[in-house]
Amino acid sequence: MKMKNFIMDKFYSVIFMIILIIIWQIAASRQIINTFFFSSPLEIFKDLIILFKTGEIWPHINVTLGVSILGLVYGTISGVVIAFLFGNFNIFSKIFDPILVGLYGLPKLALGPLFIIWFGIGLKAKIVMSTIMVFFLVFFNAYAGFKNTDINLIDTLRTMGASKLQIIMKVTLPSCVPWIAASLRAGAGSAVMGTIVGEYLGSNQGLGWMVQSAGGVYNITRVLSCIAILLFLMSMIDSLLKNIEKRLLRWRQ
Amino acid sequence: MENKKKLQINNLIHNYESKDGEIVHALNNINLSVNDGEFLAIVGSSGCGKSTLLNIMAGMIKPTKGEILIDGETFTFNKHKIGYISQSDTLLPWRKIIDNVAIGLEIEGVNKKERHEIARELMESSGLSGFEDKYPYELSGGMRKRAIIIRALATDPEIIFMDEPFGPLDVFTKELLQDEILKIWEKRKNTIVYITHDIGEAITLADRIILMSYRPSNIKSKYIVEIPRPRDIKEIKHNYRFIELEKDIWEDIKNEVLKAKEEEMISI
Ligand SMILES: Nc1ncnc2c1ncn2[C@@H]1O[C@H](COP(=O)(O)OP(=O)(O)O)[C@@H](O)[C@H]1O
Ligand SMILES: [Mg+2]
Repeated sequence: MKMKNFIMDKFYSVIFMIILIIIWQIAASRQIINTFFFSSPLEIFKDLIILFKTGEIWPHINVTLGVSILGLVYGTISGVVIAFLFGNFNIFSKIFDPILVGLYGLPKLALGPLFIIWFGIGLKAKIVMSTIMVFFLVFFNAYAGFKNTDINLIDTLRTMGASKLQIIMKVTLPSCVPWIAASLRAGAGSAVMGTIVGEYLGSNQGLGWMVQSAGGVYNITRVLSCIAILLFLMSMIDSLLKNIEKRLLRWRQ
Repeated sequence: MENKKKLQINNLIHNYESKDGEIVHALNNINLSVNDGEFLAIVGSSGCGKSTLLNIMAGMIKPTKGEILIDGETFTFNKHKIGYISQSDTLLPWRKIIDNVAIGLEIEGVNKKERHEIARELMESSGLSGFEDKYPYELSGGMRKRAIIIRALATDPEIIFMDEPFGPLDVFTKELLQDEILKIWEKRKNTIVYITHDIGEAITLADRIILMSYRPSNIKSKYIVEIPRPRDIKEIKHNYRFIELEKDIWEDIKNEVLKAKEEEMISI
């Protein structure tokens, strides 16, 4: 039932992709395109079968997925907590608002090499990278949510004699949930991006590393296999988050 | 009539400062007391400071000067339990109706079973049974208002403040809800302070009506309604006392409305 919904949801884009893949395959078979540079769907499919049959791919998937999930979790938690501090204590926003806005404009991926130097080529640098990518997205959204909390609702609870903590737990936080949920799906993409870029820059495992090393020896088929796996992973994560979001926001029209 | 004073307002003054630094003298030395179990209505033209007065009485705004006493003690949320119903839709959209109705009890620390029991009973008495597990967006405007009213009743507050609670509703829904308020009050005898710009509504509901002058506002006149209860929301309109009062209050308020209009014209 769920799976059927999932497929129906994506019906048109799946059809479109299949057509594109067929055209690509025909172009490759008739040598309209150079398969050395563009590979072909069949080649990629064969490569994928090898990768999964030998099981060679699993550790890389695990690393990339694990780091991305950690980045998403850490980034979300730190984004919400800091947005909350900003929303409740003016002094924080006075000091850090300009700094954060400045940092937000900075292309964070450019910080990658620094993290590699500071944290080494192990997982730590990638987790940091991924966390930072997610943090900014979640922070700005959650902060907007705090600022947009309906003052009438807060007042209503005040007249009931609610404490500050009760108001936060029963009004401010729930009213931020839609904002946080909205940033979560975008955040997942950023988390994976942060991880992959981290892996490009220096590592010895992960899908990013695989893409990087296959690209280095012009193994285009392998590069595209990894990208196909990434696409699949990201669409799984996205539909999972979509489901969570739906459940969290049942109270909305 | 020697009645116990529930609420007392002494020498109340309130000024607002607008963004460009201009001072708005909203309330000018208001003295007022409300008896225990009394239904008091406050009427006045729009912009005369009714909401300001109510918000100060309900502890939402700190007045520039003056004191608010409940049972002779300075009013604080810790010591006194009040109900507050404004024009706005203040159900928490992420809570089911039953948990909205029960939120006051939840804040007081009443356990879930007990507070749901109280909420369910109230919902039943106001025709909301069957909607316990719905979210606010699934209810009509009138039903949401009902839920807001019983939410205020759930904690059995000492005083209920209402600020044009039925303002944005259509006439039919409004009359149904007025009828409900009458029934509830006749049964429970809570002290109620009710703000409206609708003179008919004030007469229908209240024991006593206070008319506010235009800014800086003061209490211009007081009327005792003296129409026996239980009242019927339809029949009361033909009551000779109703007609007489409506005429008197309207004459009285006309000048204030004109003053308000004039000021508006100037500022345009
Ligand atoms: N927060 C505020 N800042 C400045 N002026 C205000 C504020 N709230 C109300 N006022 C002004 O005070 C006057 C009384 O407002 P209000 O109490 O809302 O009147 P009413 O409820 O009788 O319509 C109005 O002139 C209004 O513009
Ligand atoms: Mg008002």
